[in-house]
Formats: sequence, C-alpha cells, structure tokens
Amino acid sequence: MKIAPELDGDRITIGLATCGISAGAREVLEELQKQEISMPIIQTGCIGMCYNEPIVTVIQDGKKYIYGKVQREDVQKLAKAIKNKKIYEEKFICNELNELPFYKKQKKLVMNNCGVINPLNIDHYISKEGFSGLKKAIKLTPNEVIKEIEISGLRGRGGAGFPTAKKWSFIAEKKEEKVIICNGDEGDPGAFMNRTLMESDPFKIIEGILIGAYATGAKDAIIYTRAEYPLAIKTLQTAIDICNKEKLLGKNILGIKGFDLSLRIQKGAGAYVCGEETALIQSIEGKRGNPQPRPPYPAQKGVNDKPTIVNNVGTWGHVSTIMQIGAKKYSKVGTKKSRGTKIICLSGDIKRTGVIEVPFGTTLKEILIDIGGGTPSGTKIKALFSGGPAGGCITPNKFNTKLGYEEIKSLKTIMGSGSFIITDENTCMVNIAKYFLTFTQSESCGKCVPCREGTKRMLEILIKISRGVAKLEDVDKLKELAKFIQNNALCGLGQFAPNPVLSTIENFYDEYIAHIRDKTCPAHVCENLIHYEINDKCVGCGNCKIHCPVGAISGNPKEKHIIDQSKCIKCGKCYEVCVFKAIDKK
Amino acid sequence: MELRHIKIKDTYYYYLYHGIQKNNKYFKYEKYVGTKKPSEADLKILKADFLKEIEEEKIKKSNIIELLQEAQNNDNHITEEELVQISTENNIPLTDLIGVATFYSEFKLKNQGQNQIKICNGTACHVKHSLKLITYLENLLKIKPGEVTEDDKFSLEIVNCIGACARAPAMMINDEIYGELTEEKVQKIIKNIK
Repeated sequence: MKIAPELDGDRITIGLATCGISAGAREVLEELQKQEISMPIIQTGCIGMCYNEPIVTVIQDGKKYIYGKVQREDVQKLAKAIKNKKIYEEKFICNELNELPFYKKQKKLVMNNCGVINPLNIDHYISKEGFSGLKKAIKLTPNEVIKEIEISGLRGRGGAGFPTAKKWSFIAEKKEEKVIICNGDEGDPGAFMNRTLMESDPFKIIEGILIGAYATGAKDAIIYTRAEYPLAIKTLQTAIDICNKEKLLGKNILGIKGFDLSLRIQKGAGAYVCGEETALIQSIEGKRGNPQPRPPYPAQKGVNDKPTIVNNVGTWGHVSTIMQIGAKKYSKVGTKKSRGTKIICLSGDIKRTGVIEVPFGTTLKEILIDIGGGTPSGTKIKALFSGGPAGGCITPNKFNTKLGYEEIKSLKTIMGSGSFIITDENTCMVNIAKYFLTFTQSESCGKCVPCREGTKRMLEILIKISRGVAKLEDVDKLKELAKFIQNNALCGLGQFAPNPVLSTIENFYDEYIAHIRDKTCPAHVCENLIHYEINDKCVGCGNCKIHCPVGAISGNPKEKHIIDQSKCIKCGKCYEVCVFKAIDKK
Repeated sequence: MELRHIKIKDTYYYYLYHGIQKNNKYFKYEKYVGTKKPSEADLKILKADFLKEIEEEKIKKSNIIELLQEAQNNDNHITEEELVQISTENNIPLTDLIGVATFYSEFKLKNQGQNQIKICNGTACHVKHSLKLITYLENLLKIKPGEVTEDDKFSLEIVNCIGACARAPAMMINDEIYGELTEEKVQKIIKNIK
C-alpha cells in the first residue's frame, strides 16, 4: 500500500467544502498560495466545525495547530508565524481536535477522512485504508458480504432505519439485471450530512456502492443528487472519472471476471418529494416525481422495471467503513437495536453549528449541550426539531433520551436524516408548525387528495390561529384532519406531514391557547398579535423615526416619541435600530 | 403485446398491438413486410426488433429531465419553441414535457436575470429570520420573488433549503453560496455583483 507523501510531514490543510467557501475559504487559499511557505497546501473537505470556518490547519515538525475563522487579512500574519515556527495566537483554536468539547464525545468512523485528506486525491484515500474494505469484500462470496453487513447491524441512514442487509438480499437472489441507487437527494431542511460526505470523501461513497454491487450482483449504479449541490456533483463526477481510469469502475473490476459496474450521476431538478424512493425512481426515469403505491416494491420493479435498491449516501459510507474495520468491531458501537454511529447536523439557535458523528446511545443532552454548547445567547433551549418537516419537536425535559431509531420514535418524532434544529425562547411554536406545513404543502406532488387538500386545509387553520382569529374548536379540527392525512396519504411525505403540528400541539398546547383565546403570541413572533410601544427610556434621538418605512413614528427631538398603531406595519425596524432599548414588543 | 397483421391489397403490414394507449405511439411499431407471408422464424425476429425499438424508445424518453436541463443550460430558461422542438424531435407529447417542466422547481419557463438569487427559507434559515432578509432583498431589488429586475441583472427566488444550514441565514447566487447573512452583507454582495 502506498502512502501519499503529502500526508506525512509538514503541511497546511484548508477546508474547501461549501461551508468553508461560503465563509471565504477560497480567498484565504488564494492569499496563502501567494505567500512563500515551503509546505504543501492541501485542499480538504469539511471537518464538521462549520461555526469556525474557514479553518486552516498547520502541521509543522510533527505538531498540529488549528486556526479558525481565518480571514484574508489574517493570512500574512499567519504566514509569518509559520515561518518563525510560532503560534498565531489571535485565531488559534487548539492543537488537537479532541481537546475541544465539540469533538470530545464524537466518534468519527465514517467521517474520519473529512477535512483530513484531499477529497479528489485517490492516493490520499488509499493511504487512509481506502478500498481495503472492497478488497476484503471480494475475498468473500457475495452472500458472505451480505452476512457481514447483517452482523454489523447496519440500518438505513436515510431515516426509516430498514436493515440494509435485508434490503440487499431482496435483489441479490434475483437473476435479472439489477440497479442500485445512492440517494443523495437531501431535501430535508436542516440536513447537510450527505452534501458534506459527497464533498469531503467521495471515494468512500463509491467504495460502498462497489461493495453493494459485488454483494447484490448489480451492474448499474446511479447516484441521484440535488441540483442545489453543484460542488458535490462536481466532486463526485471527478471521483467517478478517476475510478474509471484506475479500473475501479467498468468491466472486470480488480481483475474479477464478471464484476462489472457502471456508475453515473443523475442530477435532480428540485423536488423534495423525490427523496421518497418510488418518486426518486420516477424522476430517474425522467418523469414527474409522483410517488407510486407499493407493492410492487422497488426491489421487485424499480428503474425501468428492473429490481432496484435505494440506499442513502450515508448508508453507503457506513458500508465501506464496516468492511474496512470489520463488522464485529462496528457492531460493538451503539445500542442493541441501533448500531454504529449516526451523522447529525446541528443548526438553528445553537452555539456550535456543524456536522457531527456520534455513537447511537449518546443522550440528546450530550449532543446539544456538551457538543453543541447550548443556545448562543445562553438562554434555555425551547425545543429540538428532529426529522425536518416529517418529524416533530422534543422538549428539554426529554433530553435524557438516548439517540436511537426506536428511542426517538417513542418521543413521537422521527430520526429522519439526522437534522437537528434547535430553537430558543424567541421562537413561536405555532409559527414553526405553520412554517413546516407551508413547506410540505408547497412540496406536495398533488397526486393524492389527503395530502394535496388536507395539508392545505390544515395550513389555513394554522394561519387563522397565528392571526388570532381562530376558535378553540379549530385545534380539534386540526387534530382530526391530521389523523386522516396520516392514515390515508399515499407516501411518506403526506403521512408524516401532520407530525410537526401534532407534536407542537401536544408539547405546547398553552401556546396555541394563548393565540386563540388571549390573542397573544407569547414569543412575540406572529405579526398580527404583537404591537410596538415606546417606553420612558426614549431620549428622543429620532433614529426610529428615520428608519420607519411608513412614517408611523412622530415626536419632537429630545422628547419621547409615539408610534401610531394604525399606521404601523409591524416590521420591527424601530425595535432593531433603537440603541436605548426604548421600544417594547408586546 | 402481440404481433398482429393486416393485409391491404396483397401486402402484409405487421404491427405490435399494445392495447389501448394514451397516445398513438403504437403506430410507430409497424412494418411493411411484403406480399409473401413471412415465416415463423422471421416473425420472431420481427417481434424482437419491435421490442428492441420500444426499449430504446423508453430510454430516450427517460431523459425528459435531462432534455429539459440541456435546453435550460443554453439560456437560463426554456422557451415555448424549445419545448415544441424537443417534443417533435424526440416524439414526446408536449403535455408530458410541460408536466415535467412545471413539476420541478429547477425548470424556468420565464426569462431569468443574469444572476439568479436563491434565498434560502429552510428551517434553520427561517429560525434565523430569513423572512426579514427576503423583505430586505425585495425592497433592495424592487422585485418580488419570481420576478426579474428591470435591468435584467437579478432574479429572486425563495428556495426551501440549500444545505448551508450551519451558516444560516444563507443564499445562493448562481453557484456561489453566501452564509451568515445580515442586511449589510447582502447589500455589499449585491453591490459587488452590480
């Protein structure tokens, strides 16, 4: 096995995944290349610490220095420090990632290469045990490979948690042409683990697909990914081209007769419902992404009527990890029913946003407080939303729950893809429920009536509540409609659409009541239920008067101003610009 | 599917009977054979040919999304003429094309600005007050979502998630992602592009 020389010795790495680029990593790299530093600069993917991007790591004389939030202006000083073999204190974070609370409780099995290697350098990947999983797999029979996956206890990482080995065995026994699909249509708002993995370690996904193809005998593989991820598509395509060149794809792979695989990327065209497997298959065939009734299951009739399996990007990543480290070792991580690790995305009102990988069995508290660091302002977390628009909310009194498919389900929400969105006290639960329903409503494909009409009616009621014109019986109506949609919608999108509403009603019933009976929004979010008033702290600076877009504020200089409530459009501009805290939101 | 034939003035026409179909596609699979009735073996070959043709047709049709993506890549939207052209060239009913084009949000049937702003209103961005930024952008560009500025420079669109949740609120201009936005930052970015 060859070890890439750049990964041994002095080097500088810089994270250039989407998060890094959006924070200005490209400018930093340009500036770094202009400096006279006699070290190789390696472009890597995402290290997971999105809140600290752009991140530059310097490895010098066997010691590591990690710098965060590096801007273009810092580069010269940083270069000087490197030349003098000193630490650039201003942006220094730590020597080893494990020192940080963000990393202490993480266990990186799948994301071990992310942010460490150049995602497009196959030598880097190989020197990090890359393709050793595939090499182990081809020494076994296909059935033994499936057995290995079964021993590992791997369950689908897309959300439903279906045992992967079982899924594979459905098509492995079939003699006809088969297709495997890697589902990278990550539409869940708040989920970006697939994007991170595709951008940071594409070979790992390809290796997983190769192992799957060997085990099931499929000769066709498709990676379906969103058009919104241009960088991921570019990275994957380059990786596929390299694999074709290295004869890791194509005919007689690794010299094994009959082990053929052609792999291609299909770009989605922007429809959330296409993450559902039957809709995804329709979309691959070029049709409208309408979900189809099951049976026939894709394993019986999938793409162009060929038996098909669909697995999430994450699942394929886990497959290569399992074959690399061994199923027994992998299965020791996690809980009895949910084995291994789960990649989770933290976003919203949380101090340390980013992508993390934790073993199943880690408590939610550990994830949110120890790793995530709580809310940025230090106030209490109001709720955690898991599973995106198909999930629900978890309140802080349940944060001792352990991470696992069944455990999360017992809280009446779902694991989903692993998107955790945290909200603080300033979030109105009715507004969030309304938001989620607006989302599912606009993404509903319109094929079945319960979803198309039902979600619309539910949304109308929620709008009424948020405007303060609803009646108490409307909550019952919401519940009734929700039950009906859950039981009658054709696909997961519809069946799970009412979840956020039911979940917020259950956990924040008093907030709904406040909107309906008292006509107030406790979090001061719903526009129609709040108003602004100027209090005695006003010094009459006139700043609010200048910024008011409708001229609703009047008053003489150095005197208390007044807001004309009939003119006010509740844009909140005055509240934002006032430096004396003289404006109350009520 | 079965092979059937009719005889018109001593000439045999063979065709593949599909059953009742939505469009008149089955007329494609017909062949003039000759004045002699073909042998059993020839008929087998004929049927295999037909089936192969259908298979090819299927694969060709499977590209509606790709065909549309190609058409959209030329300019930033798909024109009516392009749709008609794709329809006749590939023998795809126009309704199917429009059905697909209107289903997916990527396809634009109206002219777009030179720079397409996609402002994210995913959950994380929503929690981080993306709606305020949307109002700000609307006022700054003097357009509503779905419209194009007068100088054709920008078009504005609200999207559901661009996967930059950790740096919310975020937006995407063409293929570039901008994160942790504030009104000042947005103003600067727009100014730089102008």
